[in-house]
Amino acid sequence: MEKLLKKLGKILDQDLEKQKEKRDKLRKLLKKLRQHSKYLKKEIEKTKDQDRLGQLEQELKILQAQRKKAVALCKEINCKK
Amino acid sequence: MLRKILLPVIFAILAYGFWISPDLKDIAAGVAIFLFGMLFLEQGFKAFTGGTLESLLKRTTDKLWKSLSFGVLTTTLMQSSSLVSVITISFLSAGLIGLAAGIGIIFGANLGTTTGAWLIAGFGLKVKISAFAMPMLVFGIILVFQSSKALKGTGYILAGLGFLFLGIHFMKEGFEAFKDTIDLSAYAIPGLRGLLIFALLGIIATVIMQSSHATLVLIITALAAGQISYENALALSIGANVGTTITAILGAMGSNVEGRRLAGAHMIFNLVTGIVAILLIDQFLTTVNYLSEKIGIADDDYTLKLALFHTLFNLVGIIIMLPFINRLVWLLERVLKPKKRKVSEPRYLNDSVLEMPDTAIEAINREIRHLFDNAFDVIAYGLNYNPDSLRGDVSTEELNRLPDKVHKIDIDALYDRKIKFLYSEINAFISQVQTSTSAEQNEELYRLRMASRDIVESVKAVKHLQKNMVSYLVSPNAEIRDQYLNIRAQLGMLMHEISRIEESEDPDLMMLSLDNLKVSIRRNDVLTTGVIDEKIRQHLITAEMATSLMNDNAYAISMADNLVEMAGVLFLPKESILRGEDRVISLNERDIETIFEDENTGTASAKVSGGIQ
Repeated sequence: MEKLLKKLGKILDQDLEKQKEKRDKLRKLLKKLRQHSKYLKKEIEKTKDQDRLGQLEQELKILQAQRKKAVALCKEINCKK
Repeated sequence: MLRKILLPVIFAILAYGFWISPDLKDIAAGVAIFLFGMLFLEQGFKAFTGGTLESLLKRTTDKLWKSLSFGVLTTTLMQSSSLVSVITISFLSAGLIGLAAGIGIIFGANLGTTTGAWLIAGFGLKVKISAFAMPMLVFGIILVFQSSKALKGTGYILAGLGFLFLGIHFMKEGFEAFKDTIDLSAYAIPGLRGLLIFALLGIIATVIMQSSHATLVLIITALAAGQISYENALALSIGANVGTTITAILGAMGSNVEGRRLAGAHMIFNLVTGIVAILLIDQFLTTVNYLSEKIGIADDDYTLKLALFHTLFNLVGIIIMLPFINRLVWLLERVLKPKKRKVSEPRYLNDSVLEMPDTAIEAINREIRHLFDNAFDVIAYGLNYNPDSLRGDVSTEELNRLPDKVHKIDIDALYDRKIKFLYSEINAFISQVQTSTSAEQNEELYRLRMASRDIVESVKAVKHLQKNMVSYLVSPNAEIRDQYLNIRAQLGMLMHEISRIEESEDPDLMMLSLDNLKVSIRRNDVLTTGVIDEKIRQHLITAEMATSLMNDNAYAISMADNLVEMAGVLFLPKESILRGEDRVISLNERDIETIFEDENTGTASAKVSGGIQ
C-alpha cells in the first residue's frame, strides 16, 4: 500500500517528472558534447591542412563554450549523478 | 433556408405536443438534459486531450487494427463518437494522420458507440439511475469551479454523467406516464414498410438532435415502456446510425478536403451498414435470438436484444467494409479533389483544427514550415543559388563557386506572391487560437509567431543584401568579389544545414553546430575584425565598397541569427533540451564576442611571446 501511495505521489508530481526528464536530457547532451569534443581534438592532431585546421579549432572553441554553458545549467538543476 | 423553416416547425410541433400532453414535457426535457450532459461530457474530455489523447492517436496511424481499436476504445470510454470524429477530423486536417487511419478510427468509433446502448439497456433501465445522478451533479459542479484543469475536466465529466442519468430518468418516467394517456404502440407499422418508415424517423430524429446516443436512449426507454414495437425499435436504431453522419458532415464543413473525405467515408460506411441491416433484417433477428440465448439474455428483454442488434450490425458493417478501405480512400480521393491552391495559401490552417489547441499549434508549426519552404526559395534565388541544390547534397566547393551568370531577382514580387498572404494568415490564425490556450501553449504560440517573423525578416534582409551582391559578385575587384562570395557561401551553407536538421539523426548536435556558422559569418564581418581601415588604406576597396560591405555583413549576421533562431523553434523535436527556455546552451551575441576576445588576447600573447623569443 505504501509503495502504491509512493508511486501515486510520483505520478501526481508532474513537475518532479519534468525536472527529471530535463536532467536526463542534459546529461545525454553533455555526453554527446564530450564525445564530439574528443573527436575534434583527434582530428586537429591528425590534420595538416591549415584551412581545415582553422575550421576544426573554431568548432572546438564553440563546442567548449557550449559545454561550459551546459555544465552551468547542469549545476543549476543538479543533473550530476 | 431549410434551417430557417425547420426551427419554427420543430418549436411549433413541440409546443403543440406540450399542450396536448404534459408527459411529453418530461420526455422532451429528458432529451434536452441528456444532450446537455453530452456537451458537458465532451467539454470534460477535451480538458484531457492536451497531450495524452493526441500522442495516443499519433501512435495509431501505422496499423489499421490499431486505428480501429483506438476508435472502439476511446468511444467506449468517452461515450461520444462525435468527439472522436471531431478529433480525428482535426488531426487529419492538420496532416498528422492519413486518411486510411482516420477511416479506421471512424469505423472503430461506430462500434464503440454501440456500447452506449448496452449501458443504457443493461444499467440505465435496471437500476434507479436518478439516485446516482444527484450526487454526481453536486460533486461535478463543485469541481467545475476549481482552477485546476484536471479537476475542472473531472467535474465536467462527472456533471455530464449526472445530466445523462437525469435525462434518462426523465425519459423513462415520461414514457411510463405517457403510456397512460396515449398508446404509441398502436401506431406500430409491421413489415418492410414499417422498417423503412421508422428508419427514416430515426434519421430525422438524429439529424435534429445531432446525437445518435440521444436517439438510442429515446428508443430504448420507449421500447422499455412498450410504446414502440421491438421491430420498429430496430428500424429506428438503423436510422439513428445513418443520421449520426450529419454530425461528421457538419464537423467537416469547416475543414479541408481531408476532413471532408473522412466525413464522406463515415457517411458511406453508415449508409452501407444501414442498407445491409435493412436487407438482412430477418437473418439479423435470427442471429440476435441465437446469441441472446447463448449469452443469457431473457427472451422478452427487448432492450438488451436491441443493444445486441445495434452492435451486431455495426460489426457486420466493419467486416464488410474493412477489405475495401483502400478502395474507399481511392474513391474519395478521386471524387473529393483538393482545390488548386496558390503557393501562398495556407495548407494546414482551418477551422476544424481550432477545436483542439494542441492540434492547432501543430498545424501552425507545419504552416510556418510551409512559409519557410517558400522563403527558402526566395532567399536561395536572392543569393543566386538553385533552391533544390541547396536542399540536396551540395559541397563547399559548389557553394563557393561563382555563379555562371548573376541574376537580379525581384524579391518584392516573390515576397508578394509566396510570403505576404501566408504570413498574415498565420498571424491571424495564431490570434484566433490564443483565445482558448493555456499559459504553456501561449508560450509556444509566441515562439512560433517569432519564428515566422524571423523568416520574413530574413527575406527582407536578402532583398537588401542582393542589391550590392549582384554587382560585386561580377566586380573586377577581386577583394570585394571574394568578400561577397564568402558571405554568399556562408549563408548558403547555413540554409543547407537548416534544411537537414529535421532528417538528422541528432538534431540537437546539428542545431548546436549552427553556432559555428554564426561565428563564421561574424568572423567575415570587416567591422568586427577591424580590417576595414587597412583595406581602404591599402586601396584594396573603395570607401563606397567598404560601406556596402559593412551594411551587408550586418544583414548577413541578422539573417543568420534569425534563421538559427527560427530553426530552433520549428525543426527541433518537442522534447529537445535546446527548445524553449533551455536554449541557454546555444551561443548568444556575448558568448561569440567572448570567443573573439579570447582569440585576440591569444594572438596578442602569442605575438608577445614570439617577440621575446
